[in-house]
Amino acid sequence: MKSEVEIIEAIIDGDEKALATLYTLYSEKIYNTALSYTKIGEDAEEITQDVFLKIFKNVLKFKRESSLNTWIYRITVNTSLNYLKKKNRFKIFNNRLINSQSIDFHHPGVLLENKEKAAILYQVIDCLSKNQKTAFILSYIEGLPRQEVADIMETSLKAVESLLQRAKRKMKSELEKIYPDRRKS
Amino acid sequence: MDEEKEKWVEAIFQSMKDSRRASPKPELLSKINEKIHFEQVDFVPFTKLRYGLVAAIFVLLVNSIALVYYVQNQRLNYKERTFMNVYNESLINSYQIY
Repeated sequence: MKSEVEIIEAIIDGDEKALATLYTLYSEKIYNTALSYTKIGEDAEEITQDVFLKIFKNVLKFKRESSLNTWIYRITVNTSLNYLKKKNRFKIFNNRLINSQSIDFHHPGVLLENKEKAAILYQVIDCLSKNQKTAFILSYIEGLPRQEVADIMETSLKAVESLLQRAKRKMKSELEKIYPDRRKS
Repeated sequence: MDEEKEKWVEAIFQSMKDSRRASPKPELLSKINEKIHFEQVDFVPFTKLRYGLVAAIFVLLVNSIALVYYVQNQRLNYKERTFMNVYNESLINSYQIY
């Protein structure tokens, strides 16, 4: 098993196997994070492709001040947000399509007993601002420690905690609107 | 009732806990490799970039000097031309046919 530094150096040397090793280590993390933002498999794959291309192009810029994991997550978050921004420019034209896709999203890895609840979670996640959404996805869906979330977002631990608090408050009020409907059914 | 609602909300927040990570399609790696080869992404070493930067600065400097000279030259020409015009005019004015 190669270390992070060895993998990076091998990629710089143009070693294709090193890229494959990096893919094995990180593709699921990247894809999963992108999927939480887009809720569409094809879009998440496109983002995953872009992220690997960016890693390959910018590997020389990796300063090793942060861990490789943090750096890759940072690229993933930025690529996903930019992808959504681009997509939202055309939202006026295909608003209906996007809405119908996001409501019915079922994460393929979720436990069977949590399937319905997770679908509701993904439904209300869209009420969050960009930063709140990132903090929530990285903490609650990716399960990363708060400090690493702060490193990825290049902010302080306190700021992340405050973002999460506000995110949960906002989502809670959205969930409370859904709750009575759920009781009736 | 409220307690039940609170529990439900918390259960929603925790619904992704212990879930598996979703995987992309297996052919994605070969797609990425293809894209890398297609775009012919190659690393530009910093030394090369440095030479390029020096060359660009040199070209910019030469162009700036040329521009300064051109502007100065234009001004001189203009001054000369206006002087000659006045000189010629006065010559014509003072010319008398006897």
